[in-house]
Amino acid sequence: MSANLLEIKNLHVHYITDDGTAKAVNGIDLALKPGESLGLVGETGAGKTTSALSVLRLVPNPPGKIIEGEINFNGENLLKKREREMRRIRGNKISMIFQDPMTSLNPVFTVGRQIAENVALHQNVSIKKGIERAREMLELVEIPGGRVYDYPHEFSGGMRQRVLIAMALACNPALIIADEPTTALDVTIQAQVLEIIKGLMEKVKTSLIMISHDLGVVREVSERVAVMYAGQIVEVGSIRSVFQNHKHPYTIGLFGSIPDIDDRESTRLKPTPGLMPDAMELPEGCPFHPRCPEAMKKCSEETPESVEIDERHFVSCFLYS
Amino acid sequence: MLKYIAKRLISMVPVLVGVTFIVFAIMHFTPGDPATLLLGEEAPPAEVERMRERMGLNDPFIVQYGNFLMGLFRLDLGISLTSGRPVYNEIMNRLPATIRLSAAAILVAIFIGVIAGIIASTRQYTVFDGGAMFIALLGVSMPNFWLGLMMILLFSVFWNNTFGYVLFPSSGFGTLRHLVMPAIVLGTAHAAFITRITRSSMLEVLRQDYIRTARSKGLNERVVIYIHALRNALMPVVTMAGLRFGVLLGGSVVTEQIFAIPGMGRLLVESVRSQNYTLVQGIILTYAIIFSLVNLAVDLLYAAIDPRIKVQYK
Amino acid sequence: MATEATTVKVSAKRKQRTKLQETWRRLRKNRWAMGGLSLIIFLALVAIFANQIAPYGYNEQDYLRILQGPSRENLLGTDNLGRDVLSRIIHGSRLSLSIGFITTGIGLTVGGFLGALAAFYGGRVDNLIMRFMDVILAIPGFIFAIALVTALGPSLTNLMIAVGINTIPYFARIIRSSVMSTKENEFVEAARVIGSSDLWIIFKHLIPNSLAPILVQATLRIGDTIIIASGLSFLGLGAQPPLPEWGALLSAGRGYLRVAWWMATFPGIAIMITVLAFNLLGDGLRDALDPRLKN
Ligand SMILES: Nc1ncnc2c1ncn2[C@@H]1O[C@H](COP(=O)(O)OP(=O)(O)O)[C@@H](O)[C@H]1O
Ligand SMILES: [Mg+2]
Repeated sequence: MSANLLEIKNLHVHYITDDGTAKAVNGIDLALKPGESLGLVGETGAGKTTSALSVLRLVPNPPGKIIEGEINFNGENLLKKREREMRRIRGNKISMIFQDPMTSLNPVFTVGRQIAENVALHQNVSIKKGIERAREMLELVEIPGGRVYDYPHEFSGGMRQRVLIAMALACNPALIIADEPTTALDVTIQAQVLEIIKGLMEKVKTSLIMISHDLGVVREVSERVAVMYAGQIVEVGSIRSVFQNHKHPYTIGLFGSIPDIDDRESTRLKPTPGLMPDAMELPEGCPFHPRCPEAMKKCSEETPESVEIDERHFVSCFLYS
Repeated sequence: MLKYIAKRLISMVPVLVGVTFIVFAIMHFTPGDPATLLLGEEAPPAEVERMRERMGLNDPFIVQYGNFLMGLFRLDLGISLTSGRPVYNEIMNRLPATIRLSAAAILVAIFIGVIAGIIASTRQYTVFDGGAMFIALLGVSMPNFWLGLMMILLFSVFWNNTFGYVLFPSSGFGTLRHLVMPAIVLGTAHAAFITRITRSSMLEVLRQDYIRTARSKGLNERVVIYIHALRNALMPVVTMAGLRFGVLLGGSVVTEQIFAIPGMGRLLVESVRSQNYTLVQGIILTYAIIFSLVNLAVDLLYAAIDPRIKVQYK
Repeated sequence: MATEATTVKVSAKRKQRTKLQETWRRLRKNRWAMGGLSLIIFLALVAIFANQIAPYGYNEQDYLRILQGPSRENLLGTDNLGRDVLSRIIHGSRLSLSIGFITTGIGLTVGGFLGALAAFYGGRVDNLIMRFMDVILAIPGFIFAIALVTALGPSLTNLMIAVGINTIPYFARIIRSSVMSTKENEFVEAARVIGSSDLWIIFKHLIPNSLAPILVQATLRIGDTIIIASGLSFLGLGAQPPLPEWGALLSAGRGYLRVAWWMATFPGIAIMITVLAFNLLGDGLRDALDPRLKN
């Protein structure tokens, strides 16, 4: 067993606004080995984006604030680093691909420049050298290298997402966090972009956190999967273990309506009836208990610990403790 | 691009012809006889009548206007009723000072306004923000001629009384030192407007996803703000600067008066006082042309700032 | 049919009233705007009771007290004819405030009428009116006002006419666009159905429904016109001596800048405070009417 590339320990993130405090992330623990690929699934509002932004220390502040926890990257706690040191990590060691390719590229600069900027910054080369690198990167995501001088508005949504992928990979980061990279795209384009990510992950030895609300997407690219609910990770394990042997009532609900796990279309999350609680008004105890078919008295009083039920397969539920 | 400029220049023509018509009509129906003004009150009536005939003042209004319009193509704006020299030459003598003053003032306004707006927007809800916005509000509410007098009082009169020399001269034109006070006086109100628009535009842009992308690349905050955000926030700022330029031209009349700058504005006031209609008419037309050209420049700047606009310029 | 139309009309009216109330509620919470409003009320009271408040008459000369600095007898000093500067400013508030309201009133009525006409009839009428407005806007406002004063001759009345004409295009544009957007509303259709005349519809329905943007524009314009008008007076093209218009006071003070700084300083502060008050209220109104615009 090698050391972890990334370890998140007991992370809490709140958004403090005039209307109240949204407890977006409530004590998550995650570990990722070098080269490993982890899927993070959960409904909208579960706190996936917030967790990802915390790793880069880019949670918008105000209103967001990392309340407590540790984020160890290569054994060093990122939350203890100076802003200057963080800047050397962002886009270099850890990069992020955002959800909406239509708005995530700066409309007034050429895509080549936007990729080159990243390279020039972290590898101490000229923008011109950076453009060369940008050319290679575009080719890698199957866009003709000659298009470095084009502006974002001259590309389609799928192509823009590929540009963002190229940008994220430009400095050979050790970790890429992709936040629902296909959600904003047309269904046909989604598969295409996913193929590209999959292909690249096999080529470069980068770790990946793939955020999605689509179990099918996660199954395509990840070895492990973590299920997130109301700011907590309720179940985490290898794809195989979780897909065949899901234990948490919420996860069971997710899979419950899927007759055939090979049918990609039907693997979108179809959770248990009811709504996820508002992050401003989380219930006492296990946050899932108001919707849980198996809820016991204890569930509304205490928060369950996470239990290892199989090799590296953890569940946070009183049914198993 | 050239084709677009040509198209825009041509589209300016109807508006400017409209301007000539309005200005000509106003001056035409103004009481007072140009021939008498030119020859002086004591001139014999017969001579005045001959002059009226020669100047075409006995023709119907439409004929006179037609002649005026035709004259414009030959840069013939008539003759000054006080000096007898061509209006065109009189204006050209005074134009450089006005352009220098206005350009300096709008640059001062943009420079101060953009910087103050950025500071306010990146430190929203702090004393910097509140302070900058309140000063901007004062700037908007202050008449520039008063600011001019106060600066003269401070930097010429009091400074001289205290230190024995003049920091900035209160009149004349020529050196950069002469330009400092007038440019600040004329630019201040517009700096205030530009501060306000820059702030709100920046606040809007800083919320955008691509700013988060820029930060996620590890760029430092200065690059994020001054390169990634500012360029996107600049459109409304440029629009505002263009709009304010019209008001600024108006303000330059008063500013020239206060600082004794030999520009078109002072010539305008002199001409109004001496009822020199032909000169008034020519000067107003010149101001309208400058303003229209500035608007054209603003349009072209859009394309330089935002590549998405260029597509529409074909 | 007719009853249906009236109910629609009534509900539209009610909606409008609650919107105004809502605006007022938000405005009241804005301390800056309320400060501006209080200042305006204060200035209006000063203007109304100028004769009672001012220690001296506006043209009361005292040759023994010429160019005196601020003192107990003359809080803001005296001018070159021994007149009390404070009293002249107090009397002048009448002129400056009336100029602000009257010029804006001219712009509002004429501009509003033209804008409504353009929007209502569209096509040729619209084109003609709006192109005419474009032409006026192509001439820098202050300079156009100078041209008009030249033609009309310098006097207080002509000054107001000139500055008023200047503001016409702004109101025409704003009213045109808001009438355009309310024109298609059901209650206008309804009014048409019950056979109201065009003009009646414009006055009764379209203009009141454009009230919000007009109010903001008018408040901000008042400040603007006070500055423009005082600028013209400063150049000697507006109010003539001995009228204590603030711009004229400044102009007179200019000649004595080196010996009597108070003559130019205080009238300018009066202008600034007045314009500031209208700007505070106008900004507050805009935010209150459309909270989304506020950052
Ligand atoms: N900028 C913000 N201000 C206030 N609340 C926020 C902000 N961003 C996210 N939240 C809240 O935090 C919670 C988690 O959001 P997010 O991390 O975006 O979830 P996900 O990515 O899983 O959809 C939600 O309840 C959301 O309302
Ligand atoms: Mg998200």
